[in-house]
Amino acid sequence: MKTRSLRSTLSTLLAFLVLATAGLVSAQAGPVIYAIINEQDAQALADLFEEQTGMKPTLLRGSTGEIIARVLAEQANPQADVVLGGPSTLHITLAQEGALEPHELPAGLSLPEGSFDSDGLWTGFHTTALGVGVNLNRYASRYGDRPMPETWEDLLDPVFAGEIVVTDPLASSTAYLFVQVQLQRLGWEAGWDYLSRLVPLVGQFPSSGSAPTQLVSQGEYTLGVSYIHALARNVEAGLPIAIIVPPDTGGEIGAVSVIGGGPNPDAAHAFVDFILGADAQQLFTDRSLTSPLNPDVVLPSGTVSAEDISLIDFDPDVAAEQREAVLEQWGQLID
Amino acid sequence: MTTPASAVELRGVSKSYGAVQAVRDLSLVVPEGSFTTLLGPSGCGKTTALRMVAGFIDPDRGDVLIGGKSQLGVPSFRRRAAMVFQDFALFPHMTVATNIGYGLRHRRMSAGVRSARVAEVLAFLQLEAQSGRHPHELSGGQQQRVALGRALAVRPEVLLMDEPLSNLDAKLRVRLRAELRSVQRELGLSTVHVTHDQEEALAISDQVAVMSEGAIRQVGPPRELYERPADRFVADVMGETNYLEPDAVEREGDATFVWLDGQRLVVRDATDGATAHAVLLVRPEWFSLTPCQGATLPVSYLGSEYRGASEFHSFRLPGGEPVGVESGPGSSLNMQAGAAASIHLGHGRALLTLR
Amino acid sequence: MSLTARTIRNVLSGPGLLLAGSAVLLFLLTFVLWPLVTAAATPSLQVWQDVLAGSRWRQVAFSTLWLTALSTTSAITLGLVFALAVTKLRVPGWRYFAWVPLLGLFSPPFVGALAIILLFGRNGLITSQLLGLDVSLYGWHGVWFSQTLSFFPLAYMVLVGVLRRVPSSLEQAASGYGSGSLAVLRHVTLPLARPGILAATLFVSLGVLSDFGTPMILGGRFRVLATEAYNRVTGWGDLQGGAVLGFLLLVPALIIYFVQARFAAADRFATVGGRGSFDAPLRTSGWGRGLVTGLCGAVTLVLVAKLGAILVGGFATVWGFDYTPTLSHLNWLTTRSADLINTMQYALLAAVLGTVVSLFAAFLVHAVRVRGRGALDLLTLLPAAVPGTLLGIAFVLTFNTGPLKLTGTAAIIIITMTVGALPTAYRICAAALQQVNRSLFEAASNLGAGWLAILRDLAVPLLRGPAGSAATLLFIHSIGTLSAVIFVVAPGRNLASVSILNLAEEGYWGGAAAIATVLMVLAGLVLLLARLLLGRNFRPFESL
Repeated sequence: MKTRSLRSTLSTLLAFLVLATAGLVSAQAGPVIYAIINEQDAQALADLFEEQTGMKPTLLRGSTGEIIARVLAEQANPQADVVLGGPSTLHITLAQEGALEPHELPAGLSLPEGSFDSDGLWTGFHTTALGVGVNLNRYASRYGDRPMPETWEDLLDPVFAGEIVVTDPLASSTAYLFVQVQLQRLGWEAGWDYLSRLVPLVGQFPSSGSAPTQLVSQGEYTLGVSYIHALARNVEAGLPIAIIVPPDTGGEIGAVSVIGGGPNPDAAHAFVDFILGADAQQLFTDRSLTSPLNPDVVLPSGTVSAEDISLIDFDPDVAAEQREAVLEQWGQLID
Repeated sequence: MTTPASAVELRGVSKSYGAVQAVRDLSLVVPEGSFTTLLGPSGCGKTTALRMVAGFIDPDRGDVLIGGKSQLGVPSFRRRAAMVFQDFALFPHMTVATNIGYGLRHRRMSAGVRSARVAEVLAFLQLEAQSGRHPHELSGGQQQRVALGRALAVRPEVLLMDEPLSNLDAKLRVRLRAELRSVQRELGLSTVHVTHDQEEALAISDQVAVMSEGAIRQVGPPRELYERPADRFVADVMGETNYLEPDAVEREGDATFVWLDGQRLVVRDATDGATAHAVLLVRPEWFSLTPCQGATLPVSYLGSEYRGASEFHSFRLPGGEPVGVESGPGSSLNMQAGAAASIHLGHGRALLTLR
Repeated sequence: MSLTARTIRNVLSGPGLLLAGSAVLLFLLTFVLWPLVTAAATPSLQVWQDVLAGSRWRQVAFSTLWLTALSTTSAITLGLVFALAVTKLRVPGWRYFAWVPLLGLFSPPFVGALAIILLFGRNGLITSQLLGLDVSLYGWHGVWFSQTLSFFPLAYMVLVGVLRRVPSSLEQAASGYGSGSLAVLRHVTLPLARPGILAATLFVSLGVLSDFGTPMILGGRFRVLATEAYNRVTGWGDLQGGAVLGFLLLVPALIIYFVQARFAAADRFATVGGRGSFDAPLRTSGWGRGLVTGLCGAVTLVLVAKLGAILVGGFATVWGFDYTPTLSHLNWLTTRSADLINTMQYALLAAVLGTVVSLFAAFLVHAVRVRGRGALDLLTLLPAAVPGTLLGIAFVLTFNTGPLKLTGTAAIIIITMTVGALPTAYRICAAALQQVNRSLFEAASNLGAGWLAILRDLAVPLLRGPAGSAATLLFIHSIGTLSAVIFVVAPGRNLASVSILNLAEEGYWGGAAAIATVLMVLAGLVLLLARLLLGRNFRPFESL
């Protein structure tokens, strides 16, 4: 080994090291956002925000469970400013724990009753509804001409054993909503009875809410419980999926809130204003195919119309209160 | 009291490792400029003693002095004793010149002075041609000289050598030991040398200390140890030897006699007057195959070994003990095994010594 | 001078070394011992009781144990067959087979799991498209399959070094007495290789115990302790409960660790003779060789296919449905570029930090032989017995609050990476130092060098090769590490491995594959660089 080449290699490495460490010292500007919505959508919103305000947001995407855990763990020393997305149930829980701070609604924005917190701790910006996605190819090859399930009860058919994918309600708000819908639709006892008959048929319980959509699209599973808008997006992309909207399904309000005591409060409030504004909502709706709450937004094609969805009377406060107990019981069910 | 003329002194040093006592109350003086060898079988403690001088081991008791100054508490890198290791311990990633100059780096001197000193040593040991090579490119003898040069370069007060020749083949050993000795003489460098090879010790030492089980049995010039060993152990270490049981021991004034097979023989006496544990020590070359004044012993012939410069004959005494006789070249015996023969022991050759 | 005074004087005579030694000790105490103690002490007795009282953990713990045993056995067996094929049997093509397991270094286990889905899943290329089977790999069998393939390269690397050291003269002597090759293997080769087999078992089983990503992706409804602990933390927000579960993982880890240590100490004979020379391969029956060759060939195909799947997966529009080549998944590289850059930066710093700490620690323990070196040795090797999940949770518990608040910084991620791979790096440096002739250190000391000078003039130059190997392994480990770092990443300080897992979980396999490809290429480049720079000195697995 020639000494000279070793020396030059070492000095190059050293130079790179110095540059590498330099990057560590750079400060983080702009709001720090924990995003529960789809990552690419979150990134698009962040980019638009940067374009409009010059502040560059920092994103960390996680599932509902991850984000709750993080915000609560960090309560003594919050690392982030905004929780973007996730159902109101989640935000109610956070508000009860005292992790959020109020945000004043922008002047002139009128939101429907129940879609925002009276104390301003969280504000809704889109709505979602639950449905079932079916991979047409896989369904055809396995079940041929058999009629597709239309109601929640139709899912309890034993031929579907191992072909259903539902997220883990511990980790994902989608699945928690699903569980709550069954409980609130059928009542506590009957609801758990339904779930205990469904669970043996489920192939796996991934932690991420968007997993069933993807897995069904990929053809790994035939049926997946998922948000309708997520399924609609893949249909628009040309994937062989059919969307089933069972009657008496549940919906949630996707909300945004400001974390109390975060590192960049001004940037945080600016971001929330941005999210509630028409530009952001239009962008988000176009991408996610959810239903926006801001009335100035134009609905794009592919969005399932609200008339086609029959919703149960869903009480998010009950959902928030019951969370511990429900998850506890779910855990026992899974054993 | 220490005299300034002692280069190294060990005073009552002891060292134990658990239940094993490696060195027991050992005292030794190495005079200035002398070549002292510690000789003994493996496990006798000679290497431990040497490493105590070097500073790799601290004695449990006693004192180690170099140049009259106690070295207790002085770490090895501060002592003025340079060591030549058995496996040479040359730094494989450094050239010969860098190896030799290594010790100088830790002394305050300019680079110019340092390279001059290295050049001096290279020339002295005839290693100039090898100065840019790495140890693995050198022969065994060259490596040994580099190891020596590295120790000499720092101009130590004492040179320590731990079996420096045992990794070399026989002929090289003989040649190099002479070189070592002449270098040492030329520089007048006090040297402590450790070996298990008695021939080497005899050939190049000023004084030899025979050790066993952690203690010194006898110390003195080689000749004295060879010809007048204090006991059987020292006698065996210094060379081949035969032991005869005298029938009786007589003393008349300064002279000592033994009775062997009905014959009265004058012998040298190393027993200091004791008779009860005395045995007669006869080196093989002290016997003679031709008749002479003294005692004659009937033996039966066993066989001979041709050794080039000498011949070695094995006989058996009437009592059954084997005895070895060395005779000069050209004295071959044409005898059958078992044939009767006679060997002769001249007056004043044999040594009466302790068991 | 009294012994104490002498010791103090000796120690103080190397102030530089004293400082360095204290720094190393401080680092180990702060980032190895303290977190573990905190993790054990923080959950109150009540929490311990609550978690352990639940029936769920028993089932999961049992599953973890038998899966670990199963995966370890199959990985070791496969690695052994491969190693024997290459060293002792010299099957046709052995020169190529020798390099194949190195492919296993290129990607971490969870990327392998992803590839398994792509190839063998319900819509897998091989199972579904080619063979028309409808096979579901979700469940323990999928995890077992994936872990066997992911971990046998590690077993192979350790075993091949050990087998090479068994001199073939012994085997020839045995077969000269009329033993068939199988008997020779059973009576001569394998017993002599036992310490290596035990070592390999240790590494593989610890790796499987800690493997978090594979069960996440392939587990389906099969739960192991690592994922259970993770879910406890992220799903329930229960950090303390997660710590308790993590500690359950520690029990089998420690048992395996001590068993191996005890048996390894007893077996010293395999290393006598140094590098055994190879003479001629063992004679085997024709179809015996054929069988082994076939197995190696099949495994090679699967490994290559795995890599290929990742490479191709990043460019197929929708894997399993639409294979039109596309560059759209590369968009993920842009959105996650920060993660990739973070990974590279942090892994580089972790490699440097880890190598420096390992080198110093090894030097203190094996060259200077400081008092208390046994404890130092243990501290450095302790993280090897600690599963990644527990380490991550412990770090969060310890450094979230209190005197040293490191959450959200890059430092905690770098340190997590370093500590996770520290035992491997330390072992390499320690083994190399032990092979340095002690008389070299004595000679240097005799000539006037203090310990710091000895470190600079002897240890560092002589250990260039091992230090380079250690740094390389540290880097490759760090870019793929997942189970520990998943707890300490933060917004803006995310890592590529976490990204891959997130994307894979969400079903964005194209994106996951694209990012995984980048990591693989990076690992390959670094290995190539190491091989070029260090040449024959790059033998990272020999001393393990």
